[in-house]
Amino acid sequence: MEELPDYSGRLKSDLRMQDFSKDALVRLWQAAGKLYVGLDGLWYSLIRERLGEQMARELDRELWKRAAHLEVRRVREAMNIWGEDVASVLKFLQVDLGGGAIWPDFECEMKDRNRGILTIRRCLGLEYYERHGETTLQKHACEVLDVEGFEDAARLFNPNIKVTPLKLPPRKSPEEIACQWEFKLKV
Amino acid sequence: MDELNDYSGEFDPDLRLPDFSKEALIRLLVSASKAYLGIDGVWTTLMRRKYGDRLAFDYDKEVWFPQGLALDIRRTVEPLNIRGDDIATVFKYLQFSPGFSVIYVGPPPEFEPYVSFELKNKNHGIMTVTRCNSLEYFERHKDSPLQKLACEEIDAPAFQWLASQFNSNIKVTPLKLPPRKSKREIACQWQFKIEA
Repeated sequence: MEELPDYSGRLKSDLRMQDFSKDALVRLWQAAGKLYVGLDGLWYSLIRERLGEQMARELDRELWKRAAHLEVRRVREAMNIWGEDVASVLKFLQVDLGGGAIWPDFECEMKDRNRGILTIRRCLGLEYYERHGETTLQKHACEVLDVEGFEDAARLFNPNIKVTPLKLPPRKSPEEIACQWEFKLKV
Repeated sequence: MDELNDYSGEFDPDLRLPDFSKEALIRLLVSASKAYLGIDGVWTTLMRRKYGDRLAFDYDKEVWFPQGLALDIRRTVEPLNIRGDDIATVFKYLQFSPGFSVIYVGPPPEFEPYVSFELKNKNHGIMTVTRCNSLEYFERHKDSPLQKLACEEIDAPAFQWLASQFNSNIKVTPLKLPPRKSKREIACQWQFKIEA
């Protein structure tokens, strides 16, 4: 059977994921990532509405402390990424669903074997916060959740990897990059 | 470049997802889909510990109805270009929803589907979940309250709500729901029918 670029044709009861083209599978993977981030956003909004901003932030922070290791483990298992160096962390970031969902443009670069840079040029999360004037939520996401999230993720590869934000929002114009992070192995 | 079957090799700054084999991409998709449904489970667990079952379950339902479900439809039908208002269309969506059938598959490389779809005729279809990871989790942890929440308070109205977004005349009826007496039994079965 020819690969299907989408599922606009008739229902096939025995259709499997393997029958789709790679592009279709990547689009569905991006959709799953967006649903992942989006569902967390729905929980956050509901709690903010019912229990207040402060409680929403505290619970969301606790949530991600519990969820981060699950996210990392699932991706490492799926893609067989088992090293404990900085390159392994960047490999994880390249195929992680969280990034795939909200970073349409980003790059990972190794400066030397113990130092890597993640540059996020476009971040849909940041663009949402900017569009809706959600300064508080942006600070919470970028300065708390992301700082802790990258640290937690890197620590799962190697506790000696230190993560430093080199640039964080807010930014003066949409032409600026969204953020930039250094991953460095202390030797 | 040869297709990569995983990312155990060297870091490649220019790597793109289509550089991976289909099997690797499906593993990544299944893992992302588990994370998606899993984040709801982590939230529900956290809220149960802080505020008790009732509030946690009520919040969980509010998250899904209707915004979470609406997002699930949109994010699935758009990338796969699924359009229509018949039962076949609803089944096409459910067949590849990251929150549903994508998770309920066997191990690679076959990824055998654990949800089957049968059209009896154009206005009548049967969906059968032969194995359900969520049910197996509830059974393993003897978490009957969570099983009842998932199957009876969320899934039953959710399938009806989801189907009605495609066609308001579709009626969804559970033919079999958990609990079950043995693991050899199917997890659940649902009838989708357009009432003329």
